[in-house]
This record gives sequence, structure tokens and C-alpha cells, in this order.
Amino acid sequence: MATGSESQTDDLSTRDEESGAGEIEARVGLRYTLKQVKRDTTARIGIYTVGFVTLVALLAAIDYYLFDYAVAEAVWYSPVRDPDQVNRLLPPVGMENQFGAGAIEHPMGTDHRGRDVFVRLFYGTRIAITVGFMATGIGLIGGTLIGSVSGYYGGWIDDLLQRVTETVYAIPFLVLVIAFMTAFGRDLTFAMIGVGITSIPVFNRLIRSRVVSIREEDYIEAARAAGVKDRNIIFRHVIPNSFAPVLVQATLQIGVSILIVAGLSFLGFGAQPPTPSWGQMLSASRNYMLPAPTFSLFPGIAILITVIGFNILGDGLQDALDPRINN
Amino acid sequence: MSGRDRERGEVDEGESLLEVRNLCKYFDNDGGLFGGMTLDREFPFVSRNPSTVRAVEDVSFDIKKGETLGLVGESGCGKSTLARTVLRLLDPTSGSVDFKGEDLATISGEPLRRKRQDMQMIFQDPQSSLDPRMKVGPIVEEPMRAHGMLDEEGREARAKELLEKVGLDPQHYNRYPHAFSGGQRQRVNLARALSVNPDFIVCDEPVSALDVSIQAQVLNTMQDLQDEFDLTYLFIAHDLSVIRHISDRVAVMYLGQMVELADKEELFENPQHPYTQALLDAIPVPDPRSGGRTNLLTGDVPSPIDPPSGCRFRTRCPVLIQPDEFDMSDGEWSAVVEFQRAVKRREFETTNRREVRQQYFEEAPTGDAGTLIDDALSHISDEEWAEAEALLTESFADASVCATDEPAYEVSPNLGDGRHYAACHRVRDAAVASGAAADLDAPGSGPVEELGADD
Amino acid sequence: MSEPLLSVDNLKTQFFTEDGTVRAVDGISFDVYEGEIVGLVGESGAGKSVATSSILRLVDSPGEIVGGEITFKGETIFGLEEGDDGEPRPRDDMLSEKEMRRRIRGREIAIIFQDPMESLNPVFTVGGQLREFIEINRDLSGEEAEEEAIDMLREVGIPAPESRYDEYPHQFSGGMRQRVLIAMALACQPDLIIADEPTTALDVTVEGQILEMVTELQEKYDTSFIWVTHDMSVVAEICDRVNVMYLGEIIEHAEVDDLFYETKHPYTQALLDSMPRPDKTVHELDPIKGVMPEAIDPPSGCRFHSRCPHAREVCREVHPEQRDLADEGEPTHSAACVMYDAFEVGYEESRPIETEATGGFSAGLTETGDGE
Repeated sequence: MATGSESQTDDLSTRDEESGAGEIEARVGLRYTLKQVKRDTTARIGIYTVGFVTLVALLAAIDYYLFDYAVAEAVWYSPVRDPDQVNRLLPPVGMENQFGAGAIEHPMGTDHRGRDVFVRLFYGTRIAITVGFMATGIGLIGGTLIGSVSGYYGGWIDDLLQRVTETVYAIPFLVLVIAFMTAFGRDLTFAMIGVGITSIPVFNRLIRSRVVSIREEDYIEAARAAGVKDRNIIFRHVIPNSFAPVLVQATLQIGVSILIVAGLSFLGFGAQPPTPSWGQMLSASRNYMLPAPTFSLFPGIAILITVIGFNILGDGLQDALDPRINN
Repeated sequence: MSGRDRERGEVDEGESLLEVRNLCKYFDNDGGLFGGMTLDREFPFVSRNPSTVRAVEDVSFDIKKGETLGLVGESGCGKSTLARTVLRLLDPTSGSVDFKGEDLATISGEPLRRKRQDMQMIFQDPQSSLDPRMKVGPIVEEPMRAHGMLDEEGREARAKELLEKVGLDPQHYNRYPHAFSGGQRQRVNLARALSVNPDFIVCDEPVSALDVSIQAQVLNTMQDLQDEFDLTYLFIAHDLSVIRHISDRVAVMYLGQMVELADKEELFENPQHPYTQALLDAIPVPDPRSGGRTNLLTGDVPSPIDPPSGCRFRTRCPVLIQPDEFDMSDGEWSAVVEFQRAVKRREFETTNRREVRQQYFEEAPTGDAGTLIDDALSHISDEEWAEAEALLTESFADASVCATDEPAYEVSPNLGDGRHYAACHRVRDAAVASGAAADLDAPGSGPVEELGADD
Repeated sequence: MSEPLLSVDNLKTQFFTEDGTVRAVDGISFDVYEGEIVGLVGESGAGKSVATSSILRLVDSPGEIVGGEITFKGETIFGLEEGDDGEPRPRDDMLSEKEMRRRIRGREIAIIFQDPMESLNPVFTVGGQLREFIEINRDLSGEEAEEEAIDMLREVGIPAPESRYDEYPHQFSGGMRQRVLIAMALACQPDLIIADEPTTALDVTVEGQILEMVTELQEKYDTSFIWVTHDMSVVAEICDRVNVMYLGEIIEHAEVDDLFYETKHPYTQALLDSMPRPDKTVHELDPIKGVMPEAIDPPSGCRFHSRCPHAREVCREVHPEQRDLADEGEPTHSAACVMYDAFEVGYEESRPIETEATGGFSAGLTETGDGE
């Protein structure tokens, strides 16, 4: 199913940048942001963590699409296509249990089907990052469009759009996503879309509240008085100037989305076996909690690090972009 | 650059470029789903009282090509709303705005957007009127881009040329607004407004956020540009000194209405409306020997939600006209007015009849007026404020011609040959014409209607 | 004259920023005597507000008072001495932070700010805020404080103070709110009130009312004022003596009449010339050329020389201290300009220099239009 998800990942990160700062001043806005981020230690740690995880995901994607696991197989022992290894659960290096001693070729041990946990974690990163960016991207773009149109025009357009998104907001998101996936399909694509849609109201509210105040700024009126078209006003002035808090929220939302999709996978929605995903690994490991605690430990740690990484980055961005600090 | 070919209805020098007639702009005070709803303590617990703010009401004036019309008034008088309504940034509630022969009030959408090429605006706050995320170059180019003027290179060249014209370094093209001082930002604003070669620029308090010395620089630049590009300004300010410096004609607004409009010298030297007089008296003069300000107004501006009937200034007017049925001396009458206003504001430290009388009436009126005052005083000594207020307001303040009729007169000017419009009943005997200002068309632009109802 | 109420001597306040040290207030000295209104006038960026917050020791980080002495009624608000290690340290007689907070600020020196909306808390009633302030600062019981609060409101001309007592700040007009703040400032009967542009946000008619009221109250209570403003008209109307600030320094000090009629410093003169007049039509204004330089990197010598029409070479080299230029027996009129003989630095012989007043781009090229 995951065909094309790598290119989607890439698309999304670029799209993020574009919508991040509008048509004209994208580079400058971003460059400025990065400069601010560099000064902030928290944000820097976040950037390194997120950067590392994203890099791993990228490598996994390259290996998968271009080399058909060749790289991974060359470096680590890959049991993916080795039927002999089925039904062996090996502990990680340095640990022992009733299944025997840990082996150096399985640094994190193997799972209940004898597949290498490290390799699966490595490939699971790809899914996690794709999910995070895709779902957030959908929410971000949808929320930004709805929120900025709603905030800029006000009146009945605002009323209508806000009431609709509020309705979405009022339904518990897990119920909504599961209902969505039951209707359209249980695979990862719909998990991402579902989670993305449920995050639209979050972005919508945020950007709308910003736009409502930006709309009152004189430069918006100046653009109107100059005869600039509404569409250009929204894309050139309104969105770029309302974007700082949205960027922060998006970063946090990536972590949240990863967590939600992992939860969905745990419940059996989302990435279907044998595609390796963290949530699914956790789900499979729950029967082996006592004999092989490490089996669930590593996917758990992977999720933890990734989500915390995005959260730290979000917090750091918040500080870095706070106008009160960088006056 | 003024030779650029464009299809425009051109207006000759001295002809009306803009004719505003009976323009009104009301704001609905409570928008939204539950707007105007109030919660009560009694059944039915909610009530709906939509209230309308009458920000601009029945304003008419002309602006001739090449002139500067100064628009002055205190904060909240509706001058900014008027400017925005004239430019159709706000939709007028009623009335017409003829700009070069086309009524802006009736067009919208794309035709209106195209019209904006000919009319531009400069804002008060140099800080917030430039997008902080755009460089100065693109800011100046934006209106040109919006109206499809020139190509990319041509726009850049013109932007640089304009930056130089407004007194900035063309090298600043690639700088962000925050790198400029307030005065320089206001120059960028000027360059942006000029970029599409407009005829008409509305300047909304363009210098009031600037330091005095910078103010002078920007004002001088604006005047030079006006001469060079043959611009027409509607110049809004609350500072009469600035208005006096830059305007050809001056309009004074109070509570959503225009109270006086005349040539600059005429207005400053021969003001007819008591509000204009009060405003002029209130300007501080940078001279310690001037003796300070005199004749200060008292009280606050009434709410535009429920403005006074007739003349809107009457609740604060120092020279309210006595109703015909009384025959008091001026001293008696002004004591009565002062007393009535004090009651309205509950401005008493004592309710003792004798003391109050002593405080307000050195000359006590006799006859009907005296009886009424006595009744009011009895109410006050019984602490029946509402009754006292109602009695006094009804029999004195609301009986005045100022409360019953809306004033609109034209008087003959003492200075110059411009027309002098003053919305005050005190000039009715001297008036050469009366009626709504709409009928007072500028000379040469149409037949002058001499209504002469009162004279 | 007797001892000054407040004496500021060579006060220096600096802000330590990433880009360098901003010398916001750079060695200003002035006195305030009992019962007078002293003006502190200058354009934005001149350091007026920093000067007043220094007097109350309210300068926030990264700002710091680095030198000078402030004495108020014989007590040291700020003073440094050289410590054992050669570093300056606060003197022993300097008031502690606690004393400043409990005894000086609000009680003995009150301050009125420019924006009356921001100084009043919108969620509490006007009367409640005033009462609380009086309660805390004057040790009165709640009821007494309320009575006092209503009296103060009446004193500053709020109509029907009993009923307005329970209203919220947004129900007051701008002028009324400023009256409330003045009531608050006067409530503790301080000896000194610092008014930081209190009428700038108000309309002229309201400004007139407020100034008139302040004059009356000032006579009644005999309070001294430091009146911070950028508006020469307000100065003319209300002040007894005036200090003109430019870029962190006081460049001229005089009695108000002398300042306007015997103007000494070219900056003061230029400031007066650049104002449009309400009482007569001026055809071409004569603006000060250029903009005020940054306090982070002030010009050498006289700080105004880069914009001064009378600048000569000596102005670039010599940094003038204020000197009294008044005739014998006349009240003090000091200015910091080497143009005057009292400075004896050879201004007459010095060559005029090219400044922004004569060329350069960054400034008021108001004449460019003519050339095209």
C-alpha cells in the first residue's frame, strides 16, 4: 500500500515551506525563522531529533523503493524473505531469555515471526514520518484555507464554515476516524486522511483567530485600497503574517498524528501486515510482554523519541517565534 | 509619467473631481448569530435591541481637482469612516459618491477594483500600514501589479524612481520596513500610493504619528508631490495646525456630520459654527505668552448610537438658541442652560434649594421660565433627578430651534470668494441659502439652488 | 531658592543589548523645586521616558542605571560609590527596593502614563481600583478609602462620582480615564508627580480641559510635576521651567518664557521652526534635516551636529557640557552649544562642515521634487 508514500513525504515537506510563507517571501520568512530557531537551545535539540528521525525515514524509503531492501540486507541480516526464520523470538544483544542468547546480527532481537526488530523499526520510521507529515499537511492546508477565508471575509461565510468545522470538532476524533476508515478502507492512506481531516478544525481555529486580527491591520486595508485582488491579499499578506503560530501547531500536530496512527495500528486500523509500522509492532508484541519485554520496548521508545522530538521542536519554535521575545 | 495613456474620464483643473452627496454610513452595533441579544432578569429573559451607530450621516461636499480638502474633527467624529466610505472600503448605507462622473456607491467587484487605480490612500500608522514580511520594493510595486501596469522590470524601475521622488534612497528597494524610521515608512506609503499614478489620494492622519520635525519634512514632501503630479488630497487630521498648513479648504466634522466647510483662511479667521470656534480656541499655541486656551468646551461627545436631534452639537453648545416662547436675557438663558446640563450630569454636591439657586442663578429668570426652574428645584430638593431632568430638558433644551430643526446654511464669506457653509442656526439671518448641503453645489458645477426658506 | 525637592545629577542609564550598549540617558542633570512644573521635552527616542523611569528606579533589564545621583527630599534614590575592588557599588544610604516600593513609588512620587486604557485594569471598576490604591498607600479602612476615592473623583471633575464609582474603565471616555489616573496620582498627596505624555492620546479640547484642571489642582495641592512631552504647545501652556532633551542629553534648560523667546540651542530653535502654527498660515515649513541618530552610536562631539544648520568643524570634535548663558541676575538659562562665547573653543574660527543638513540621502530630501 505504501507505494508512493516516499514521494508524498517529499512533496509535503516542500509544500509546507511554500504555504509556510506565501508566494513571495517564502525564503526570507523561513530563513528568519531558522535564524531564530538556531538561537534557541530547546528548538535546536528538537531540530536534531526530528532531523535524525526524518533522515532515517528517508534512507529507509530510498532503500525500499530503489534497492528493494538490498542495502538493509547487506548491512543487517534481513529475515524479511527468509521463511526458515519464522517463529523464532530472539532477544537483543546482551540479553538472554528462554529463547536463547541474543545475536549480534539482531541488535534489538527479533519478533515473534523471527523478523529483525531493528530492521523493522528502521522501516517503520518511514511510515511514521509519512503519516505525521501527510496527516498534518492535510489538516494544515485544509485548516489554513478554511480559516483564512473564514476570517478574512467574515459574515455568513465565516458563520457557515465555522459551524461546519465545529460539528467535526464535536465528534470524538477516534470515533470519527474509525467510522471514516470503516467506510472507505482500513489501510494507511485512509488513516492519514482521516487523522488529517480531524485536525482541520485545530488549524482552522488557530489561523482564523490570527486572520481576524491581521485583517484589521492597516496594510491589509492598504492593499484593498490599492485595488489588490482578495485572493492575492490572502496569499501574500494574510497567510504569511498569520503563519507563525500555525507552524508551531503543525510541528506539535505531527507528533500527535504519529501517536494517533500508531494507536490506530494497534487497534488494527492503518498499515496492514506485513508492512512494518511501530503501532503494529506494539500490537503484535503485547502477547509477549512477559517473556520478551524488549520486543515492545523498542517500538515504544521509537515512538516516544519521535513524538517528544516534534514536541520539543514545537515548543522551541514557539519561543523562537514569540514576538515579545524577538522584538 | 503623467503622460501615460489611460482611458479615464479626465477632469479639468478646478472642476469637481469628487462629489459626495447625502452620504450616510451606519454600523450595526451587534452582528453575529446572537447579536443584539441581552439577558434580562425578568421574563422572557432575553431581548433583542439591535443598535445602530450612525457614524456618518448626511454628509455632502465636493473636492475640486488639484485642491486639498482638510477634514478635521475629534476622535470618534466619523472622519475616518467618511474617508473609507468615500473610497468604498466601506459600503455606504445611502447617498452617492461621484468620482469623475461615476457613482462609486453603485459599483462593486471588478469595476470598483479597477477604479482604485485612480484613488489611493495613505494611512495614519506608518508601523502597521506596511506588511512587515514584504520588502519595500514589492510593497511599492504591489498596486501596479494589481492593475497590470508595466512589466516586472518596468515596475522595478518605476518603484526605484518613486522611492527617490519621495526622498528615499532607491537602494532601499530591498530593505524591509522595520529598517526604516516612522517618517521614512510614511514616505514608502506615499511612493506606494503614487505608483499607479492616481488622481486622488485620501490621507488619513498621515503625520499624526510622527515627531514634529519629521512631520514637517513629510508635509513638505506631500505638497511638492501634489504640485508635481497634480494630485487632489482629502487630508484628514485632528491637528488644526497641520490642517491649516496644508489645506485649501477645510471641513469640520462633529459626531458624524459636517458642521462647517469653508476656505482655509475664512474658516480659521471667521469661523461661524460654535464648535469650530471652540475647536480653534482649544488649539494649544506654542507660545507661553499667548495666555493659554480659552473658552473650553465642557462635557463629552454624546453617543453616535442615539445622537441629539436637530443640531448635534446643541448638548454642548455654549450659545444654544433660546426657544421663542421665552424672553430671557442672555445671562439668564445661559444660566438656565448651564443648570439644565448640570442636572443632566447630576453634578451637585448639595440638593439644598437655596444653595443650588445661589450657585446657578445670579440672575434668576422670571415668568414662565422662573416657574419651571422653581419646579425643577423642588424636584431636586426631593432628589427626584429624573423628573427634574425631564422637565428642564423638555421645556428648555428640546424646545430650542437647535433641537427641532437641522441647521444647514450658507453664508457669504468675509475672506476670499469661496463658499462658506455652516450648520448653525445662529447664522440663519445672515445666510444666503439654506437647506441640505447637497443643494449647495460648487459654483460652476451646476445650477445653484437658492432655497432661501428662512431668509 | 530653597533646596530642590528632587535633584538629578549626571544620571546615566544604559541598555545592554546584543547590538551594543544603548546610552539612552547619558548624563542628565536637573532639579525640581517645590510647587513647580518642570518640562522634559524632546522627540521620540530622546530618552525622556527612560529618564523618568530611572527616577523611580523602574528601569527593566537589559537596562540599568550606571551612574549619577538622584536625591529626593534629602534621601538618596540612587547613588554609587567606589567599592573596595574599584567597581562602583550602591551607596549605603541608597533606599532599598522595599523602601522604594512602599514609601516612594505612588506615595511620594506618583506617575501618570500616556495611555489611560492600559493603566486601568478593564476587569475591575474604576472606583474599586482607586479605592484599593488609596487603601494600600494611605492605610485607610475600606470605607474611608471609598469616601476618599469619591472625593478625589469629584476633585478631578468626574460628574456624578457616586454613580460612576461603580463603572468600568471602558464606560469612561479617554479624557475621563485620564482624569481618573490623575485622581489616583493625587490620592496619596505625593510631593512629586511624573506625568509621562498624559495628554498625547487625547483630543485638543479634552487636552485643554485636563491641562486646565492640572493647573488648578497643582495650585491647590502645591504638588511638583515633571511633565514629559514632545509637544511644545503643552510646554508653553503648563510648564514653569523646561529641559530640552536630544539623544539622551539635556541640551537646553530655561524658564519657559526664555526658552521660547530667547532660544539658545539650535535644536530647540529648529524644533520651534518646524511646527505648523494654528494661529497663522505658514507656507513652507522649515523641518529639521535628517532623523535622530541611534543612541547606540551617537555622533561625536555635539550630538546634534549632524543635523545642525550651524555645524562647524569644532562641533564634531568638542562635546559641549551645558553652561549657564544667562546674564548676571537673570534666572538660569543654560545650553550645550559651542556657538556661544562662553564655551571658548574657537567656534568663530572653525570651518563650516557638510552635514545631513546640507546633503546625504538618509534624510529629508524634501527638495528632490524640485529637481525633476
